[in-house]
Amino acid sequence: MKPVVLKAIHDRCSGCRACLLACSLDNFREMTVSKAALGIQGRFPAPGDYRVLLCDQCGACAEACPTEAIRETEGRYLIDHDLCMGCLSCVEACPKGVMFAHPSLDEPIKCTLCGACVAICPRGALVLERRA
Amino acid sequence: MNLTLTLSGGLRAVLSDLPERMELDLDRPAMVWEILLRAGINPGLAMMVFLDGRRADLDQVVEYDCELTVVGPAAGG
Amino acid sequence: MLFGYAGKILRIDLTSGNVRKDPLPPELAERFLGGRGFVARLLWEELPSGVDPFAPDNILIIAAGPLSGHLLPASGKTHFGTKSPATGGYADSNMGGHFSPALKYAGYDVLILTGRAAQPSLVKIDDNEVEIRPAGDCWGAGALDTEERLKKDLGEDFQIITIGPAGERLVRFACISHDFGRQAGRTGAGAVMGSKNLKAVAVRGSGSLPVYDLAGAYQKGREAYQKVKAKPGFAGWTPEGTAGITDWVNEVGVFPTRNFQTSFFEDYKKINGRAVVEKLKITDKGCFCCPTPCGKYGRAETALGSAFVEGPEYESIALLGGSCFLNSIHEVGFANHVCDQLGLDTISSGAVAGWAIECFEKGLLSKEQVGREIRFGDLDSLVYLFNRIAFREGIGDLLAEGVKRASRKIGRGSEDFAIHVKGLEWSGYECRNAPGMMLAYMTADVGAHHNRAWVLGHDVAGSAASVHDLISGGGRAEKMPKSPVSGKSEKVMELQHIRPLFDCLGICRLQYMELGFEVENYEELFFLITGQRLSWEQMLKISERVWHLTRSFSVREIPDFGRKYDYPPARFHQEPVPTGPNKGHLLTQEELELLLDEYYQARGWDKNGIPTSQTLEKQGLEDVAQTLAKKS
Repeated sequence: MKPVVLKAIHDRCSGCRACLLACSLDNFREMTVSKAALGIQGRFPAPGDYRVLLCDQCGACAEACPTEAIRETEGRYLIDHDLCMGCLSCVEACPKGVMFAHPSLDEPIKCTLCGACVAICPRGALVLERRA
Repeated sequence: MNLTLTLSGGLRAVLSDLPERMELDLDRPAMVWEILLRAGINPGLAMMVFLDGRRADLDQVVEYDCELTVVGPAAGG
Repeated sequence: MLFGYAGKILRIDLTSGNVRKDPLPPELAERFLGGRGFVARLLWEELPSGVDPFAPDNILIIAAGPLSGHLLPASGKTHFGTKSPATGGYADSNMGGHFSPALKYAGYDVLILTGRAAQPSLVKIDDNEVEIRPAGDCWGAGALDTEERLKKDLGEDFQIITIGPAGERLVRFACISHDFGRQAGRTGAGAVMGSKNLKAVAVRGSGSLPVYDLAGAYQKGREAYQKVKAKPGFAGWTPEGTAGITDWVNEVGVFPTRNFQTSFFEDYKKINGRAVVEKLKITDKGCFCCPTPCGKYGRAETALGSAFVEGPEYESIALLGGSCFLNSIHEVGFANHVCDQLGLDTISSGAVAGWAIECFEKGLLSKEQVGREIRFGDLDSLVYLFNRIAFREGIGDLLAEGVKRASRKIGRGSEDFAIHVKGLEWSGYECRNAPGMMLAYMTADVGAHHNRAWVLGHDVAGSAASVHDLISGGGRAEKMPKSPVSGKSEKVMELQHIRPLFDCLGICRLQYMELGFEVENYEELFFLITGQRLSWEQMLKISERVWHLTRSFSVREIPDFGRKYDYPPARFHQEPVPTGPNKGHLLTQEELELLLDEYYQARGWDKNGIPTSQTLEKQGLEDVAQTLAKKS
């Protein structure tokens, strides 16, 4: 598989958050929006639009990880569960604010480029593109 | 001229014996409302019509193969 | 385990500050499903009979449904219920947005608010933690401003409901606001919240919902989105949302215009869905998991000022635009914003303002009484009236009571054009040639509201113009023939069970109603999520049970409740429509009697519109039958 990147077409987003539910379902097998590796920001009352916050696999999390638990494979940064000690340094280091902590989890939540959000989005606001 | 007529759920709720999709064969160009009458649909029930996905008026002339979608009345609020 | 549900009822007594968490009774879920069903049953069981709507003993119930918060189209509906400040009987109101999913993720299907806080307060629910805190500066602030402030203070991930100044001052048509433009608008639930000294509720949940067959529900949920996207009308209906119907209601002559004097507005194309999209819209704004977002968020620019506003959706266009005669979509949008900020229901506000302006024109309200001149088609008049009403200043104190009470006070024939049923102002469909829809308004449990049964399409189909007329009118009849009156009850009853069923399930009906997303999908999703095999027919039976229950609640709470509460105002049976496609039409008093006679009989209610013991027992409502028997 060629390396891909997740992109948002913000103006298409209507804030329904189906992507968060699909992400939690795909990665954690749970019906919730709180275990998702992306976010929806509603900017109301002004300017009155939505922004999709998502991981662009920049690797800042890997650099911040003291145990080298986050590693790149074909353009995806994934957490090695055996190495992660749950310090959440990566959550603080993420420049996009899309490494998430959850009270019931020992490890952070990170985008795996699984594409569940892309598949569910009824607006076509999320796309997986081949990396240039 | 071949025409695919698709009807929204709101319309079919009122005209329950009609299918979601119909194929019509027209021998000459016709206005949207004439086509609806021919298909057994009271044009008065067409809230919006679309020709190949683009909003159209009831008196628009259809003169090429296309898909005509009729959205029936449905309340909001 | 109750799959699908969060599993708990959260009770907050604002007088004592006590918080209680009870398990959700499985029997309640089985017999009443959720949402509206929960609201109706819990009101019947827990509201002390005879309390004033603004007394601390009144209760405000907020309920999710079994499907709320799950992955399926538009699963974010929240239901509110209370004893109505508008009618004194059963009240509920339904709202889209993201509130009920958050409530469920926090662990609760139902929130019951009782008592009255000693000082203006906020409730914060963060999973298990429940806190009642002082409202501080938020008290007195606008409903939208309060939400903005609380989002900043608490965090973006809190879902918040607020009231505006109108709710604080017990305006009988004050609404509950959410998500910068969604409202539980009707029946004055916002005033009940205000009477409890409660400015806002904020909720955040980090939990997950129990699902009977998670993999199956996920798979079926994904398919549901694909199916909805493939439906005819998906691409066409969404861009304009509910405002898309504005042209049609004018072309068939049912658009409330100048306080329902007529049913056709010459300038309708200036305030239609296209105008919303082309002139105001910034973004589509969707409810939770909605594939067809009807919300249009935009900016209105007028001589009086500019404002961000969600909408106007169709009802606001009808009542602020048509009934108050505004012919600029920017002005309708601005009036909508003013109502939203003040916490006023746009439907009732438009109806009340229209009535006041007509009274002024007829000399029944003087310049001194009103404080200035007021005119149809004048945004400034509306903004003035809405502010007076929300703060109950001057004439606003009278108008804040709604058209039924206000017209009784003014008298002199003003009751004839006070457009309401039971004390709830009429929403956006004029019915002098729509007998089915008229009956739906007359018998809706909360008063003159369209969202119990929307029969208009069937009325228009029934009055189908002749082919000759259609041909001469280019597809639209210039003059609509009279729609047959007899035989309407069956369709009205059928629809009175369908729409409210969606309110029980906690999801939006639009994908079903507009796009024809089939009921089999809901049956299957309901099974995969809850583990209960219920056919659509069985679910409709539950909805029917709820219908008899809400009627019985009003019988219990309103001393002389009965048939006389089911009539529309005299305008609709005395004044023929003066202009437009329905010119000349009205429904006579005899025809109204026929509509009610047929309906009561079909429902199993007596001639006074009271459910009989036999009917209630057949619905499994034996305790309700006993209570009503004692009363009579």
